Amino acid sequence: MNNAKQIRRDLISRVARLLEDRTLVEKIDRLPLEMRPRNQKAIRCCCHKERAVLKYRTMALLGFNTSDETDELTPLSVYAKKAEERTKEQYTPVQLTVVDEACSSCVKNNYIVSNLCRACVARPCMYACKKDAITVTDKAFIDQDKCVSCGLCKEACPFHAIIYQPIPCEESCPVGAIKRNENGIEYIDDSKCIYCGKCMVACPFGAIMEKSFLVEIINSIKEGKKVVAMVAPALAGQFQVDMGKMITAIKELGFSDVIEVAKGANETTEHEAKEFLERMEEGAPFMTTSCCPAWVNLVNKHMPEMKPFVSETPSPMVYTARYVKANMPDAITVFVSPCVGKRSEVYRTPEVDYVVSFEELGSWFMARNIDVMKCESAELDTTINSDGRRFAYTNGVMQSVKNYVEHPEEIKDIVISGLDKATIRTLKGYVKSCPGNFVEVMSCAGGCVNGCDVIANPRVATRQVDNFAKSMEEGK
Amino acid sequence: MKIEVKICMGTACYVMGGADLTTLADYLTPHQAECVDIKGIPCVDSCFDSKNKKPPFVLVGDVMISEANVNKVREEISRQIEELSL
Repeated sequence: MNNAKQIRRDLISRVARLLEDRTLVEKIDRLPLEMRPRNQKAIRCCCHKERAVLKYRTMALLGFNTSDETDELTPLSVYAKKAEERTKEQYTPVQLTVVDEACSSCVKNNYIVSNLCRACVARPCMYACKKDAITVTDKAFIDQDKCVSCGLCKEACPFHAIIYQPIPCEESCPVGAIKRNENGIEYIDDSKCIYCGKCMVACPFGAIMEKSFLVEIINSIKEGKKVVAMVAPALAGQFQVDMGKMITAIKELGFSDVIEVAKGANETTEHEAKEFLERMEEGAPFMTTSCCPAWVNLVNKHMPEMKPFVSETPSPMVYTARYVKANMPDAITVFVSPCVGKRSEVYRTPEVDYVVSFEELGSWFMARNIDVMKCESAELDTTINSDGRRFAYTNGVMQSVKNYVEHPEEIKDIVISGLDKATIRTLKGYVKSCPGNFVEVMSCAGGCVNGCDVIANPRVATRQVDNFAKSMEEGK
Repeated sequence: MKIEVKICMGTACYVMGGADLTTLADYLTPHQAECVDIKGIPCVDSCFDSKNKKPPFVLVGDVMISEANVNKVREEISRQIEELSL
């Protein structure tokens, strides 16, 4: 937990409350003022700055990107009205937005001279710099306009006086999709972004927001439509309660039904296993999983050579949505998600209408004063094979496929838990030569329990998911 | 005698940071761990009491901590250990 997250959750819960009361358009303009009253001590420079930041954060919660703004004077109520009238055709594929007002434009260059500098006679930093960016008076000084962040000065300094200051969002991005513009403000290059959500978690200013569907979801419920929640397996570890209570709590929000995506995961297992055996028979060197949308995005945008090796089996979410739409054709399907990656998958999946993240769900409970601990336990779907519930953590998909096939010993497994620059290099190498024949890839270290929108500690959540899976097996 | 540490597990507290406190025991010294009895409790309703106090709430002995985090709780625990000379 940190301050930026707390502000975001407070804001989500306030927006949800306005939607629940059906007073969004009427009261939304007041929200930044209520959250940052004039007499309260500000964390940033002043309450006016904070209110401006809150305004743009709210825009994202209403389903807009910061760049959708053409006139700064447009109040939130106008966006709220637009959001309430929005149709599906008006969605854009961009799911992450940098709130430029919140971005602190951390540093222009990564190298900084600390006060350990002794202004030595040799001045190796000056000689090392190929751009003539360093001058020394009582201390070395780096001309920020000339510096290109090459790091040679840092290597040269015998006192370790020059330090490397990382830019958290850029550092966390595995594909170099987030960069500074000429003013030092970050922007996301959508042609490169794989929606892993790592920048959102990394930014200490909370400047990166994901676009939300809260308006659509809550309004659909309020209009009396049949809205079905499809909960990701990782949800089982998010609150300190069993899945039965979780389901009741979600129904109390107004969802007409709650379905475990573990059900779809069983189907994914079946098809993935068959696909694997087919491919092996055809002589393919290896196959990778395809449940993680950030991984699929990575292949599509950065690793086209990997494409022939990625499984074409739809994800558990897709199978679950197909099941819902087949049985309840008029239902609106909402995926309850641990991450922003799924938002990008939903954009290309007609069977899934909306996404609500774990964080949004928790904040929505807050808005409605629903105490999950005090909910009654609902009945669970006992037809689900618990292996599907283990998709929530790393190695879960692999184990599930192994349990399904007749000869698990023929699977030479490789499990990639967490995408970063190093694992991406490793994965690229697999195209030429792969030491295994089945590769599971999860963008988040540890799997979905460590997604960018989770509430619970991933370690605690993993244990809880596993206990839930076990208890359901024993119950059979 | 043990100091009771009651962590509110109401949804507001949990979402606003209480989830981090589920691992509180991992951050205590062996002596501190011996002196406390940690448990999760249902909503303490403090969230509706005051405008200035924010979740998550934790009760250490009879001291209510608002906007609780591991550090704040740990500090209060060691203060009370000293006070009670445990």
